[in-house]
Amino acid sequence: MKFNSDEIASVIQAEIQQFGSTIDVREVGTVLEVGDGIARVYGLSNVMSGEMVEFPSGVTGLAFNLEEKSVGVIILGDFLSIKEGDEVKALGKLLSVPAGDAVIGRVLDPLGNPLDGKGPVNATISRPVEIIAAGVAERQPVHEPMQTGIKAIDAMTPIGRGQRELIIGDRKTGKTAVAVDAIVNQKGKGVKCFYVAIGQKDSSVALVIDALEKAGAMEYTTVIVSGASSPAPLQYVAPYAGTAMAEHYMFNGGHALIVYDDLSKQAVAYRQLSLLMRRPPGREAFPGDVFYCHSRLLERSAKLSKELGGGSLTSLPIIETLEGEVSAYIPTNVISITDGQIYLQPDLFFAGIRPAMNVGISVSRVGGNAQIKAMKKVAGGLRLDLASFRELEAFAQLGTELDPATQSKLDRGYRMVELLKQGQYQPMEVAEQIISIYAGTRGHLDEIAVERVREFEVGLLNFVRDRKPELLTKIREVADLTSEIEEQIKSAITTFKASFR
Amino acid sequence: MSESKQTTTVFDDESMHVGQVYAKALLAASEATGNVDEMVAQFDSFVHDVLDKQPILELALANPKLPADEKVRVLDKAFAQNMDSTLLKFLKVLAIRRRFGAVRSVFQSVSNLRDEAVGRLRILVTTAQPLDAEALESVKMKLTGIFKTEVILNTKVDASVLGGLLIRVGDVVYDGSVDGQLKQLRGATIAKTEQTIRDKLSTLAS
Repeated sequence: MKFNSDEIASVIQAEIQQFGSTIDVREVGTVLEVGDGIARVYGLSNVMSGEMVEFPSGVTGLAFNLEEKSVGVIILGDFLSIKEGDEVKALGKLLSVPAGDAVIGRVLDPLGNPLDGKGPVNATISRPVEIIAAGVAERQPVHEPMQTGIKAIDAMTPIGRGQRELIIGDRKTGKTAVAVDAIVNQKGKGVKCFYVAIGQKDSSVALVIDALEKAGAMEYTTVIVSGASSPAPLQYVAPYAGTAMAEHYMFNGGHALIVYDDLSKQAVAYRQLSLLMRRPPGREAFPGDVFYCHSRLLERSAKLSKELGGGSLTSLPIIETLEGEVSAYIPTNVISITDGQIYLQPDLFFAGIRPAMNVGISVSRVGGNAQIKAMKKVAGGLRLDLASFRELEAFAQLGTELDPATQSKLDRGYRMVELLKQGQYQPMEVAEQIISIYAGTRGHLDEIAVERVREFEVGLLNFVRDRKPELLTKIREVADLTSEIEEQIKSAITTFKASFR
Repeated sequence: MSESKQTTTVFDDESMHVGQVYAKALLAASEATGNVDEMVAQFDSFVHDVLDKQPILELALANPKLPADEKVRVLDKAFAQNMDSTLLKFLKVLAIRRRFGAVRSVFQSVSNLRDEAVGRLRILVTTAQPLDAEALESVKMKLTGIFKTEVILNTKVDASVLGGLLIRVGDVVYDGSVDGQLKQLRGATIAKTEQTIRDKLSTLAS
C-alpha cells in the first residue's frame, strides 16, 4: 500500500495546532562518575529503586542503589557516550519490553530492540520487566504434560506445564541440546517458546538460531540475546525481559516455554554489578541477594488457575557446573528453587549415552501428574530399574559368576540404556515413545543383540507408522494403556520381530 | 547574582561529612557573636574572590607539610583587618586541624544550612540570552509568589535552550524552554503519526 504524503502532513499539522505548551517538570541529577556499565549520580533525591532514568544521549538506566548522598544507576546500553556532569532525568516509570505476537519469530536484545535485521518490532503491547509472581490463590497444581520429545526425560523425569526443571551439567554435556529439542518438539502444540541466551558466544547463539530455523521452530520462538560482549547490566536483565514477553501468553490463557541459557552467567553478571556498586560480597563473592535474584525470576513460572484462564509458563533454567561440582553456591541455590533437575554427566556423554542424563540423581518433583496415563504405566518402574542396573553393572565388572536372574536383569539394562539413546533435534512423539519403551520394559528386546537395538527401534516405529497408523492415533486419543491397546502393541511388535533379522 | 554551579561534580563523601560538621559549628559560633549573613557573604567572597583566583594560597593552606603557625601567620597578615573575627578564627582552626582541604565543602554546607535556617530558596534560571535587571526582578517576584519564600536567583546563559526559561529548584527542573517544548512537540507528532499509520493499516487489513 502507499501512504499519501498529504495525509501525513495534515496529521502533523493538526498535531501542531493542537499542541498545548505545557511545562515539563522533571527530576534530575548529575553524573559523578561512570564506567563498566554503572554510573554514580548526585541528586535524583526522590527517585525510587528500579525506576528508569534517562541520560542525555538517550540511553536509559535503572536506579539500582539508593545511598545517602548518591544514586547508583545501571546503564542499559552504550555507557561510553556518558560523561561526568551529564544531566540524568528520572522518567518515573519502570522498564518494560514489547510483548505479544509481534515478538514471535524475532531475535531481540533484552530491551526488545531487533537484532535480526528484519525491521522494527511492531508491538502494540508492552509489559513491565519486573513484576511480582502470581500468588498462591492464582495458581493450580501442574497437571498437563509438557513433552520434550526426549524419551529418557518424558519417561523418567516428566515435565509439566508450569513446572521449572533445571538442566544442570558440566560444559559440553548437551545441556543446550536438551533445551533446543524441547523447543523443537513444541511444534504444532500451541506453546510459544522463548530462548534467552545470556553471556554466551555469539557464534553458539547463531548455531542455536540456525538449528531452530532448520527445524521450523522459529515460527513460534523468540530468541533474546545478551551475548558475552554485551555489558553486564543487559546480561542481568535479559532473563527478566524474556519472562515478561513469555508471561503475556500465560496471562492470556496460552502456554509458553522459556529457556534460560544459562543462569550461572547471569549470576556472574549480577555479581559484577553488585561489586561495582560496592555491595558487600558474600560466598564466592556473590552478593547476599543472589538467591532472591533467581527465586523471584523462577517464581514467575506458573500454572494459573482456571479462573485466570489456566495459562502456563514452563521454564527450563540451565546451570553450568565446574568439574561436576553441584555443591557450589549457585547450583545449590537453583536446585533448591526448581521443581527438579536433569543432571547431565560428561562420562556418560563420552560413553555415547546421549542425552547423557544420570538417571539416579535426576528427578522431577511434579512426577507422574505430568504424564499421560499410558506413559505412566509403561515407564512405571523404569527409573528404579535403571538405577539398580547401574549398581549391578558396577558389581558385574568384578567378574564374578552371576546367577541367571541377575544376568537377565543386566541384559535388560543394557538394552534399555541403548533404547534411551536419541539423536539431537529428533524429538519423538509421545505415542511412538510409548511403543518403544513398552518394547523395552516388557522384555520384547531381550532376544535382540544390544548393538542392533536402535536399528530395531527405528524399524519397529517405521513399521507401525506405515502399517498400523490407527494404533498411534488410538494411543494419542485414549491416552491410556487399555488391555486392547496393549494387545495391539504386542501384536505389532511380534509381527515386526518375525520379519527383523 | 553571578553564574554559579549549584552542585559540584566532585564527589567526596568524607569531605562532605567533615564540611557538614564544621559548618554547623561555624554557624553556631557566629550566631552567638554577631551578624551571620555578613559572615556567610565574607566566606563566599573568600572562596570565590580569593581562593578561586589564588589557587596557590589554597594549596599552601591545605599542605600538611607546612607548619600550622606559618599558616596562621599568613591568614592573620592577609585578613586580620577586614575579616569577620569568627570567620578568621574558624579558618585558622581549619588550618591547624589540617582540614583546610575541606574548605569548599564547608562553605557549601554553610550556605545550604543558612538558606535552610532562614527559609531561602536558591533557584537556577537558565536562559538563552542574559536577562536584564527588570526581567530578572519580575521573574523573582513571580517565583517568590509561587514558592512563598525568599528566593535567590542564580542565572546561567545557555544558547541551546533557544528561548523561554529553564528553572531548577533543587533536583526538580521546570522546563518552559523553547527547546524542551520543541522536543515535546516532536514526540507528540511522531506518536500521533505512527498511530494514524497503524490505524490505517488495521482498517485496510480488516
